[in-house]
Amino acid sequence: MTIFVAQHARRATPEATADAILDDLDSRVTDEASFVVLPENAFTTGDAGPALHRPLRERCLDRLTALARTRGTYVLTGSWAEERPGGGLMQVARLLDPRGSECARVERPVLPDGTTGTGDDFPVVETPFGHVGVLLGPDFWLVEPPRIECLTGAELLLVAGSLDGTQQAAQRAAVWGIATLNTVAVAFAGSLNERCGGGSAVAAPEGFLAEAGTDEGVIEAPWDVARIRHLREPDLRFQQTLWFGLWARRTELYTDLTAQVS
Amino acid sequence: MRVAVVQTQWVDDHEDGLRNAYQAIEDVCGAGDIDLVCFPEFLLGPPWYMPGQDGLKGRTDTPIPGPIVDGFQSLARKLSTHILLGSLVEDLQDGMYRNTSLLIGRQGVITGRAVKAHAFGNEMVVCRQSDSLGVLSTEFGQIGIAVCSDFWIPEVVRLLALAGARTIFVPGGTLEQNQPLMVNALRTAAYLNDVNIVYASSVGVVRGKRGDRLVEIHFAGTSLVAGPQGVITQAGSDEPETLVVDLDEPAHGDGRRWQQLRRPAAYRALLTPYAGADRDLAAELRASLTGGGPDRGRPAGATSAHEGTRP
Repeated sequence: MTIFVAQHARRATPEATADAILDDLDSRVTDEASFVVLPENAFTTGDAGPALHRPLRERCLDRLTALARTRGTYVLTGSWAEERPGGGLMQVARLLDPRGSECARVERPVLPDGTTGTGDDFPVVETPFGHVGVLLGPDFWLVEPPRIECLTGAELLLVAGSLDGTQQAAQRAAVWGIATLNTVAVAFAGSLNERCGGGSAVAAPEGFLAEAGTDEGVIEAPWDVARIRHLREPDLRFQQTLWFGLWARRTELYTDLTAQVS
Repeated sequence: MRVAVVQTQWVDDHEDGLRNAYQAIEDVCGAGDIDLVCFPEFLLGPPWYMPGQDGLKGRTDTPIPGPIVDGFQSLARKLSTHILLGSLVEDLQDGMYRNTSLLIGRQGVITGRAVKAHAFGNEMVVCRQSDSLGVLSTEFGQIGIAVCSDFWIPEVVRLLALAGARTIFVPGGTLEQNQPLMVNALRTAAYLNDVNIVYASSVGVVRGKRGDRLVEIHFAGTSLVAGPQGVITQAGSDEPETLVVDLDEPAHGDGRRWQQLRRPAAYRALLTPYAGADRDLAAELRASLTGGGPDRGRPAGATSAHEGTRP
C-alpha cells in the first residue's frame, strides 16, 4: 500500500494547472495506491483567487473520482474555493472513497486577505487501511486540530495544506514534528508558487518517508498502519516511548485550551 | 538572558554528581556573567525507582528544603545567578515522592517550582503529580518549565505559551533511540508555539536487573536551545558539556499567527482521553513493583531476558 502526494507549480490559468496535476496523477498513481493527496487551493493560480468556476470544478472532481475508482484508492481532492448562496467563499476539500463517493468533507471560510480560516470539525474516517483524519489549510499548523484527530483515533493525517509561513525551514521540519508529537503518520500536500514553498511530504513519527522539497511532481511512500499501531502500544520497558504522549494525558489540566485566552 | 545549559554525566555516587554540578556552575559563571544555569532532570543521577536502581533509595531522595538545596542556594547567591535545578527526587517524608524542578533566584531564594505532571514508568506508582501547569514571573519575563515527559504532551507547551511564556525550559533526558526525533520535536514545539525551548539532558547509562531481566537504558545528551526558526545550539550526545547562549524573546512569528486562528470552543475533545487507551498502566506497574504479577510491557517480545535501548 502506498501514499501518493501531489506537488505542482501553478500555471498561468487554473485550467492549465488542473491539467498538469491531473495528467501527472493519472500517469503516476498505481494500483498500489491507498491514498492520494492534493494541496490546499489545488488548481488556482494564486492563494487569493476567486472561486473556481463551476465547469472546471466539476471536471476536476470527475477526473479525481475516476482516479479513485480505477485505482481503488482514497483521494483527498485538495481544496478549491466555492461561492455560497448567502455570499462569501468557502474552501472545500473532499475525501473520495474507492467507489468515488464523498466520505468526508471539510469546509473553511476564505478570510478577507484570501487565506483560509480554521474550523471546528475534525473528521476521522475509518478505512480498510486504517483510521484517517482530514485537515485543510492552517488547521494543520495549530496544535489542537491534529491532536484532536489523533486522540479520536486517527492513525494517518491527510493534509490539504500549504507551506506558507515566514519560517519555512522550521515549517517544513514541523511536518515530521507533528507526526512525532502525535504518534501518527502525516501525508502533507503543498503547492508551489511565490508564497508557498512546497514541502509536500509523508512523515512517520521517526522521520520523513518521502519529501518533495521544492521539486514538482508526485511523491510516494509506503503505508503500513501496523507500524503506527505498534508505536502506540504501551511498552513499560523503555524500548518504545512514543505511546506516552497519547496515553499519559491528564485531561483535567487542559481546560484552559478550551477557553478564550487573551 | 544569557543561559548556560549543563549536560551532566550520571555517575554511580550522587555525591560525585553533586560536586560535578557545583563545579559546572562555578566554571561557567566564572567565565562570564550567566543569568541562568539550567540542569537536566535528575541532576544528581538516576532516581532509585528507575529499573535496577533500588540500592539508591534513601540516598538520592531529597527533602526540600534541605542541605542539598541549601548548597545550590548559596552558590546562586555567591555567583548572582539563577539556577534551575532540572529536577530532584523530592522526598515528601510520607513514603511518597515528587519529581520536582526548582528555580533559585540570584539572592538564593527559591522563586519557582514545577512538579512533573505526567508521570513516566514507576513514577505512576511512587510519585505524586502536579495538579497545575503554570508560568513563572521572572526578571526575564514569563517562563515555563515542562519537566521531562511533560514535554511529550503537546498540550503542556501549548498551555504555557498561551499563558504568556516566551521561553520554556525542559529539564529532560534523551533516550538514545529517540535522539533524532527528540531534537526535531523540540524544534517543532518551539516553532508551533512561537517560543524558545531550552532543553537540558544528561548522558550515561542505567544498568541493573528487574526481576530476571537485565535493564540497560542509554541517555544520549543532545541538550539544545531552539527558537521558532530552528535549533540555535546543540550539545553532542555522549559527553558532559555546557552550552552558553544569549537568548532574546522570539519576534512575532508564524506560531503567533496560528494562535490567532485558534477556535478554543471547538477543542473540547482535548478534555477526553485517547480513544485507544484501554489499559491501567499504573496497576500493571504496581503489580510489577510488588511482585504481584508480570511486567506486561509490550506483548510481543515481553519475555526477552534483556530490555533497554540496545539489543
